[in-house]
Amino acid sequence: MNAELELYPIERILFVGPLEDVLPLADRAKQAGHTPTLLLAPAEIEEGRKRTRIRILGENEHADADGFDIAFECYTTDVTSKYEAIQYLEDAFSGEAPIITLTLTSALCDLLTDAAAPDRFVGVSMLPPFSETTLAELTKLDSTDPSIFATVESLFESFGLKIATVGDAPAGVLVRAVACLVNESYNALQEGVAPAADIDTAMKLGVNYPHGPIAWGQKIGLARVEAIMDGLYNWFHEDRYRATPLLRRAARM
Amino acid sequence: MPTFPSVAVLGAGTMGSGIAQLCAQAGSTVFLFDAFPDALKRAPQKIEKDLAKGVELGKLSKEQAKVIVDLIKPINLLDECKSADLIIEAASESLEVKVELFSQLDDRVGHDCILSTNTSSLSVTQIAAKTKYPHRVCGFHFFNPATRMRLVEVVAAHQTDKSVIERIVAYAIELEKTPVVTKDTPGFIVNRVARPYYGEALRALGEGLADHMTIDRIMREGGGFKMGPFELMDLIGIDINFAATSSVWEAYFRDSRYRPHLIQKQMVDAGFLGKKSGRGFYDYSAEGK
Repeated sequence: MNAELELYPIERILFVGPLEDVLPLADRAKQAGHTPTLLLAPAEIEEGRKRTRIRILGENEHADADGFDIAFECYTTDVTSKYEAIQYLEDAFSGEAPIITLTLTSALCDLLTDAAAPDRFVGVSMLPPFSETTLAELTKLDSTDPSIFATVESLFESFGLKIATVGDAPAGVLVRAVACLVNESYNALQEGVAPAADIDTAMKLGVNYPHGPIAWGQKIGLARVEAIMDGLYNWFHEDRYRATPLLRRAARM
Repeated sequence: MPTFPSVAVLGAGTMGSGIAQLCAQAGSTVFLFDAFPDALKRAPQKIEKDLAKGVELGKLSKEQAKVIVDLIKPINLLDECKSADLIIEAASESLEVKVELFSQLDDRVGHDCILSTNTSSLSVTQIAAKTKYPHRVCGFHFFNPATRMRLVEVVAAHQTDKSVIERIVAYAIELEKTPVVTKDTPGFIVNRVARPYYGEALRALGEGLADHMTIDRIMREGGGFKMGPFELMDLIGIDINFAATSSVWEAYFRDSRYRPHLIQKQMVDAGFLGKKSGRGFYDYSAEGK
């Protein structure tokens, strides 16, 4: 981080996204001494209020730049909501406040094709579930404001996360590799190479993986793995990223 | 009494000698065959050295170590293993070599003798098809170092009898291993499912997303992997890893999922094979000096 850069404030953070993803991140923010607020889909507001005392904006409340220092958009599987959230944040945060967007399913430049001020955005890829994430891969565009990038770095450091800076592609480095491992394990399962439990045992004992890939996929969320694979496929247009049909079926069950 | 009282291990290299030691530890008499006298001479010394370490650590007594060593009979003629109940072939990873060994054994060993291969990437079905009695052929894939790694893949070829697999699984447990039975598909479980770990890392490097040190750090610190993909390729040998990738890719009719990467090929072409050559993705030239 460049110590001479003037950083933006990071105290009041608006998290936008599905409850299960934003809640662990907002909890981290709260533990780090920040003031998080959640902007959820109307259908999740009631459930959210049951599960946390963190402030949740009401259905008719709107976010604005006066109320928040920084915004973090966290949609993964719901691409339509993701684009809508980015558009919403750009309109609502008329100033210079940094906006972070999760890049698990799209490259940053792809998400910002229609953005009015792409230089205020920073992309982040982290391995779900976010309650267990240990490292954040940050991505910037050539035009990203260095002060904004340094501000986002300091925010993730305050969450207790290790940081790496990577180039712009969907799912960064780690999430891409792990999603492909999970997808390949479902491919082997689909072919009847071995039962799921044996595939997991083999990978843990044969190559010391921290989790068996089938169990890992379930931990990450199979719908997310499917969305990540589709994101990679859409970006690279390469057959190697095709989601295994068994993974797609399992993600819907 | 072990499931297989008499075992022949073909090939006295690193894998073969480790497997021979394991079988002897389980109480089997082991014929250790190699056509190269040097390898045959080195293997018992290596086994004795490993067992001596175990004695030092109090894992077994000197007497027990001696019993194990005495159970291993180095042989240089295949005829000498005709009484074996189980053959474990651990020769070089070449279809021709394996087929030739098995065809020489077909009529030498008894009809109940099981012919297993420690291949990590060749088709067991293809090997079995070249033998007279394919129903008794299976894969018995150990991981390096064989004496330490708990996993073995027991590979059922299309022709393999169910009872053959059951007996090998029982024996693997006697060897204190965790056996998993796998269908005969390219790379079996481990060498197939692990491909993206290397492949995606190489592609991320090739796309300029990060350098190899950053990618390794991300995988370790973010993913909980013990070693990053480039550290691991250097340890395994970049040539070995490239050959495994190429083999799975070819066997799956060049499915792009397994396609090797130019970076890896060029490392092999340059002789930068990893730790063993002093240089791979990392520089080891200062080590061991």
